[in-house]
Amino acid sequence: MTLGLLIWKNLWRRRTRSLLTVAGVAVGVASGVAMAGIAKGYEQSLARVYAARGADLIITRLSNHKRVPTTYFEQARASDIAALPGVQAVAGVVWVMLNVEEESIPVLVEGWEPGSFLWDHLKLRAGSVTNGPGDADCIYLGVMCAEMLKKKVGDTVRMESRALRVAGIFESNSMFENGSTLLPLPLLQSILGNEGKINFLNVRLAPEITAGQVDKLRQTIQGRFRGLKAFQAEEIAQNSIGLQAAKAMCLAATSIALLIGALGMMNTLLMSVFERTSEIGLLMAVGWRRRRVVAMILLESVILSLAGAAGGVLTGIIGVRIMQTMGFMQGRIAGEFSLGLIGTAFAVAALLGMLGGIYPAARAASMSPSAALRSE
Amino acid sequence: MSAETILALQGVRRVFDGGRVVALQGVDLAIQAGDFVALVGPSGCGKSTLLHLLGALDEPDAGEVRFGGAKLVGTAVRSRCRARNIGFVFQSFHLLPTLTALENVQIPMFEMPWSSGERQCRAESLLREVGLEARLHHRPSELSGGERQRVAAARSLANQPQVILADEPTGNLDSASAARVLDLLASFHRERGLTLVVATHDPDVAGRASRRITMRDGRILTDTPSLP
Ligand SMILES: Nc1ncnc2c1ncn2[C@@H]1O[C@H](COP(=O)(O)OP(=O)(O)OP(=O)(O)O)[C@@H](O)[C@H]1O
Ligand SMILES: [Mg+2]
Repeated sequence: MTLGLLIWKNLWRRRTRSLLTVAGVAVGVASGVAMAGIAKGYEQSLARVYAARGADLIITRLSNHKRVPTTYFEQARASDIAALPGVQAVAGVVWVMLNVEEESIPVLVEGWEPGSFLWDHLKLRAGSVTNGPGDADCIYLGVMCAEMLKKKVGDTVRMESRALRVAGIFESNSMFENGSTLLPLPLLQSILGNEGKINFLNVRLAPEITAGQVDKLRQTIQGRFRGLKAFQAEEIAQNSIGLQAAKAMCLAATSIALLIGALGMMNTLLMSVFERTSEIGLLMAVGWRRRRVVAMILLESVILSLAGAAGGVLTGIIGVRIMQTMGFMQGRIAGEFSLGLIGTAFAVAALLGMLGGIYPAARAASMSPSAALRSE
Repeated sequence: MSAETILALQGVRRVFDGGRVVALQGVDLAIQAGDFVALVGPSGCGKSTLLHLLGALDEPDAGEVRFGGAKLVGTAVRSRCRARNIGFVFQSFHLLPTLTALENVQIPMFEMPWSSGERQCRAESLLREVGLEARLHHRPSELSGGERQRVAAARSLANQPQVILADEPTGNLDSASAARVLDLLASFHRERGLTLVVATHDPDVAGRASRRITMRDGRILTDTPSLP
């Protein structure tokens, strides 16, 4: 017989209680994995938006906290920046969340500068995307957005009291764009009453530009145009204030769930130590060192928490995969589960198992063998 | 010939409940290697307390306990002494309920430098020795009281101790099972030369011992060699 078998039998003896403890840990781990996976997926989708468009730098104007979304700035900056060395093309963008039709959830609405490179990557599904100034009052819907609004080409969509005609339905390889509504920039500016202003400038760099030259270009932009900042695609996601807040909330919620799981673990082990007092007395009577008793209890708790981690990781991933196909979440979330995330989940669970097991193990090891044997 | 002293108590006192209960006081005792000692006396006179001190399960409040001349001070020293030198048999068996007979006998062996294969092999031969070769894979709940106590007896030999301490080993058994367990313990003493100390109310057990210690109110009243 091995110590492992003994531990297994100890846990299996109270299988319902062990499984409930595992479930408690699994809930914490699952919520953590799901939320972190969704946040990561969001971050990557955001980065992918720019990759799909072929935008290398994104220029915005920072309000106080160096965070996106940002305040508007003069569209006239576009031509100044286009003239800088290393810049191949620029495209002004307005990016807002608006309530469209009767939908209660705001939809991403973008205005793109007519004729700019942004339009090139869209795949047309129905109607036409003119890649130009467009007919008056024409809008284009991403496939997901069209599905959600239940609109087809020729239908009318109400936006801020304006009736707009759906001229085309498009698909891109970015989840965000597929869920968005697209307008020619001047039309969106006039709808918002914000003529001549943009809040993003997408920049395509010359293909032969080096990393060093990119850094220099960014510094030039930030030096010459006060308040503007040039991000690379990955950085946009990392600096998003919404994403930061969401991550902080996820972390808080996950910590609470994990804490509850750890307390459940401690409770279970403490109960099991107390009800096994005379057995632990026997182990010590036959000469088991305290260290071995401690190891046994700690291993019991670590095994429970690792089982919880395994269950939680699976539940978290499967849960997000299911949510992705459901109702309004469809097209709005995309879980991204890296090995690093899964490894972290297991490491955190093992740590919690240790923490939850230390006190019960110490209680067990501090028993006097004589008193423990008499406790029957 | 005088055999060497293996276990010795000197001026031992043990109290409970902050001194309100005096379980043992002024106890001096020397047990020779190879002795078969019966510890008798009325309930509550301190037999179990004395046995726990002899077996390094407990510490005296005053006086000292020695095993083979070495003082038993500190938890590490005591647990090492228990693992290497002392086997226990208790009235209520103290088998782990989820483990089979074979596994229960291996429990003390974790403290020895033996592989799991060696542990298993040894446990099997010990269970054969106590006549339980057909019950290796039974759990305690599937064994009779007498069989459980024989598993416990086999376990007490696990690490080849020099001393077996038994606290009312026949107290929970019918007379036939009791006789069998007693025969077994006596054979350990006779054939292996083990030192055996048995606390008991059972006159049969006391009758087979080579030395009888009678206790009363936490003191040793008489200490006499039995007739051979
Ligand atoms: N942990 C304890 N706390 C308080 N009192 C104790 C404790 N252990 C033993 N005692 C007391 O010490 C005295 C001796 O107890 P002990 O168990 O040694 O008696 P015993 O001779 O073994 O009795 P029995 O024949 O009934 O087993 C008793 O009065 C008992 O109540
Ligand atoms: Mg007793």
